[in-house]
Amino acid sequence: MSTWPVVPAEPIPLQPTLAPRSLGRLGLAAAALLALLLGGPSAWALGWIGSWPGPLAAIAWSTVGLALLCNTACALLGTFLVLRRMSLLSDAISHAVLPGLVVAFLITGRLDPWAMLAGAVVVGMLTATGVQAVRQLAQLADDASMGVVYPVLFALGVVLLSRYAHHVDLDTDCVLFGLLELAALDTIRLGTWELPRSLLTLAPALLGVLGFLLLAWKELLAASFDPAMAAAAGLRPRLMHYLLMALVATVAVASFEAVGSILVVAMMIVPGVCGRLLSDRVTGTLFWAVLVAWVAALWGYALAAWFNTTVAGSMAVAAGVVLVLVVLLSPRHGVLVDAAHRLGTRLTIAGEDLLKWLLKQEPGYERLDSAPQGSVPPAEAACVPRKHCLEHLGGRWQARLVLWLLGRRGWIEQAWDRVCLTPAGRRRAWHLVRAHRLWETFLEEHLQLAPDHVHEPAEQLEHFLGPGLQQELEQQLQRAYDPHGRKIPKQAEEH
Amino acid sequence: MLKRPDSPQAEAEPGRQPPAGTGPGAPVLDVHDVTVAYHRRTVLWNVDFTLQSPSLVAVVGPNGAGKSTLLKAVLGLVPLASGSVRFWGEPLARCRRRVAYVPQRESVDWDFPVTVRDVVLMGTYARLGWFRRPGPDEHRLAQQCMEQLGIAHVADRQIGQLSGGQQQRTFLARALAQRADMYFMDEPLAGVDAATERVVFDLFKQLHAQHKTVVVVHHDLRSVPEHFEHVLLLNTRVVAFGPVQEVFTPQNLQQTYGGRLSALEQVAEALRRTEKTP
Amino acid sequence: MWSYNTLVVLAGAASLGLLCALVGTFAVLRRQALLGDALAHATLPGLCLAFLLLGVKHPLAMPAGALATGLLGVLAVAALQRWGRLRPDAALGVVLSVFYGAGVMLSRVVQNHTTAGSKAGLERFLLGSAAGMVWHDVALISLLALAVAAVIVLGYRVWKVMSFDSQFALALGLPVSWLDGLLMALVALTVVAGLPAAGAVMVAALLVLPVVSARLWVHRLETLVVLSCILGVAMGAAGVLLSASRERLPTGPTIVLVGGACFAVSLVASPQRGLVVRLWRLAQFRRRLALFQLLQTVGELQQEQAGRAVALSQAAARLGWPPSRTAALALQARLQHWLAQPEEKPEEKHLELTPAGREQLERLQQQLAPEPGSLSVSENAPDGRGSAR
Repeated sequence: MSTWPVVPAEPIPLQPTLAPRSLGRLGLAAAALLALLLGGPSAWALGWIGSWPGPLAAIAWSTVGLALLCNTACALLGTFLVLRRMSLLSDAISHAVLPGLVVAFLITGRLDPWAMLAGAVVVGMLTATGVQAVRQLAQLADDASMGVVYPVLFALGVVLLSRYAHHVDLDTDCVLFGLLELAALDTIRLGTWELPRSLLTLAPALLGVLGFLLLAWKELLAASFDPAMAAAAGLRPRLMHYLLMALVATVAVASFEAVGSILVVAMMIVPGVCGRLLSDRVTGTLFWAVLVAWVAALWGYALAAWFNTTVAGSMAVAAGVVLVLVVLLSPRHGVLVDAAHRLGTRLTIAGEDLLKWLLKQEPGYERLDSAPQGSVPPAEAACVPRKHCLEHLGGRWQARLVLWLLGRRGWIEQAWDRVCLTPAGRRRAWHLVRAHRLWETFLEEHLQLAPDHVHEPAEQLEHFLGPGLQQELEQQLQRAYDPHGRKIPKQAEEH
Repeated sequence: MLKRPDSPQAEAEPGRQPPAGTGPGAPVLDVHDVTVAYHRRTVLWNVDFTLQSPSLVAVVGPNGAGKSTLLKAVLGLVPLASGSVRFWGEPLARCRRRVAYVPQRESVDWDFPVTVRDVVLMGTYARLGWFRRPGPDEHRLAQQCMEQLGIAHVADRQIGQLSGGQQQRTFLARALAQRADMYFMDEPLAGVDAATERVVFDLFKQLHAQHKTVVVVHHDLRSVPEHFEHVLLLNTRVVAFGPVQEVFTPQNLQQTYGGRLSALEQVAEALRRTEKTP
Repeated sequence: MWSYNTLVVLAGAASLGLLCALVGTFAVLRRQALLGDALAHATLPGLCLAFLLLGVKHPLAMPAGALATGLLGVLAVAALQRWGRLRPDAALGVVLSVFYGAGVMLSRVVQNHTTAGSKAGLERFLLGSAAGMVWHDVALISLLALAVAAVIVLGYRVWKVMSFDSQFALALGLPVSWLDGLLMALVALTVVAGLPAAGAVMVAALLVLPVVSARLWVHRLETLVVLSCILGVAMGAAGVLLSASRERLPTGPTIVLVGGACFAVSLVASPQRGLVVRLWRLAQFRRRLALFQLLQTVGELQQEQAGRAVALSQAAARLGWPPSRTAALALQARLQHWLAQPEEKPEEKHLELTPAGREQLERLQQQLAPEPGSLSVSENAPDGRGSAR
């Protein structure tokens, strides 16, 4: 079947729906499958870790808890980075934080957490502005300017570290990969509580992120969607941008010791992307992003325990697996749902073409077509050998599927090796003839196509003409005959 | 129709009275010697005009004449190399709430996960101030604005699923929700369908009837005399400014478009606009 | 004077710089600057897998594994954009972090299986160790550079069209997607070849740094390629020499820092786009604009007062400038004889516009804001309209 450029692969939504686009059966099936695939392993992981001996399980839970804190903070911030199309800034900032840490250490001479936080935030902001400045000054594309700024800063950090601070326990390994598996063991006493030390950095970071989102929600939203309008309305989009960058740097630093920068990058980008695929609202995107981040934390921990490897790396991998599942199975934008829709459309078109073809095989068709309305009794249902039908459809597996689907709709009957139109099928076929001729007339009249050029596009468009549009088209055209001089059947004739 | 009990217009002398809170007789908009340069290129040169009373103003000029830059400069979105802008006799900082801006449609990411309602609600954000969320009043206002522009039936759709005309209407509804006294619109009629065009021109009329000022960057020269009161002919500098019937003359247009205002130019404009339509 | 080893490393780094610059020029022009980065990170799982499967550091299997997962990463970036509706930045970020996470995970598994410290291996993967280069590596990199140069020279016109306008190239009937694939394969080969010496982060930077620095100096593609190759070689060589001359200066980061310095210098000193030139131009523009405004204001005030001289304070008030700035500019204008101080009013500074000042006013206006049309169009346009104003 030749394609006509204007016709999209998906059916055009002809009637504006009031509610947000309903998912449909396919979407629901995809959603259920996705829920099963995400929930099943999570439940298994929970059960498996729960079955460990007491002390081991306690450590596991507190490790997972730390990861949840960190992932939540990252997912919330990262969603905004993804929506603002600057997700790679998280990568840049989390790498570039290194020189900030080293410089702060060199100035204070010890591993003072506050000084290091300050140093990291300063360098993080410098990266954000530096990328922008380099882009403007050197007139580079966004990615190129990022590709210049962050390796240089990272290299600076490495050189500073190995030259001046090589004796310190601040190795790149730890910065990059984190030691989440040990984070739960490194505890401090606070009153009667024995708490992991990372909790003291992660919890405030998460609170900071939550506070920022709650307090500056609408400013952040406006600045992310339309900075120009936000600036004109005095909503301070620049301030929002820099606050966001500062928070990204803060979270990167707060979590680097526990989880390392790869996990920060993965958790800033992957959940946001998943969230966007699962929802068309910002709040929904955030919700799904956090959920994905939690699932990734759980899976990652189980994966790491199973293979006896790093938790941070496994969580990044788990996030990747979740992303693949979401890309495939997202009810709205998933690859499988899209493909199924496309297949459905193709089958529908093939089936409708077959109905029309069957109608034209009826002995009385020509007379009925040219005669005045109602003067010819409907012809006997013509039956066509099944083999011919399959040949007409191209004879692949899809052809059998089409016949089966048509039979299920009650449009054709299959007896022995013959295929017959049912009355309902004949009505449907006449409806298609009508749609086809209406379109031909419309194309000739409104797009000034020559009569010998209207058949092909109409052949495609006839499948996209709901009753409402059909009526509108008919009223607008007010013509009884199509460009080939054949009568356009009226609505009543179909019955 | 939007009613505003605390409307700044004095009821006694509708139309010609400057809003309360500013000196009597202060012009609505006073753009004084504004020069804007990007790098070494002068984009706007000594742009100087004064709008005494609320009006519908079309900003007209060839591509690259600095029309969009003029709006941005007036709204403080690009730095001025020199000059000053006053609204009702006051600097922008003191009356931001009374000024609304409608950027070009292409300037935002229409894949952003917000609905039409969310976008229109953004219009109310500026007046809410920090920490406050839009409440029932704001939702009602947004609903009104959407109804006025005929997009209430798509209120809960994600904005990427809209047609070009509906997207433009969404932007206009957002500006309306700002309940400003002066509107700056950057090509609100670029690439929209005929129905939207009618709605937009109607909106201009209604706003004008409420003594608001609307400054529109406009491309379709043919519709200027019918729908606008004042026209600003711009080509880096002001070629002419004034009431349409005085200023919108062939000589001035000739000067603005540098003698290239021919059938060809119109065709090129038309092509450019169709290109913009997705 | 230099040890044999230093010479090997020097040759290796220089040839690597050359290779990266050659490939990087076209990658950056095709807006694929960060793809090298994602690719470099995506090679780690391949390295680990190859090692896990074979149990030894096989000289062929390791690069092959790296190449395989690297290309898989590139394909994943393309697939996520095509079918997953992801933005380019998000797709790159996802692949970079997830593949790298997988690599870290596998490297720990490797560590568990072998007694050899693979922790150092990871750090080497990221930062490289040029000191470990042997002639064998140098020869390989040089051969690769030669091959890439041959590909580029042979198809030079095709690459040129591709790198400036892929739509046009498509219209010409060039197989753009195949050529993009070829470019990606070259990037992948380059990354894998450079990985042991420079490390993942650094090899990605080496792809970008020479070309973005060179672009600040030259405009034509031919000169761009040549200059970025020169810069690439220079960066590699200088970095190696620097790191050899000091203790505890890792080679890869040093090369990148040298490259960064080179870029920074270009950014500041480039004759057309450099920061210095720009600031100078901006200052000049501001000065001229201020001068223009002063002369214009004096002229206007003079006209309003029927030709009488204008008090300095009056001009300052009209312009809204502080008196000191007005006075300084007025002095400048007086020294140029554009403004004159009439004799009869000595008590406060009064000024009037001289005929030379009027000419200067016209000139400044032409300089600052050329009449539309007089910039590019023919001769006859300006004088007609010039008199009209």
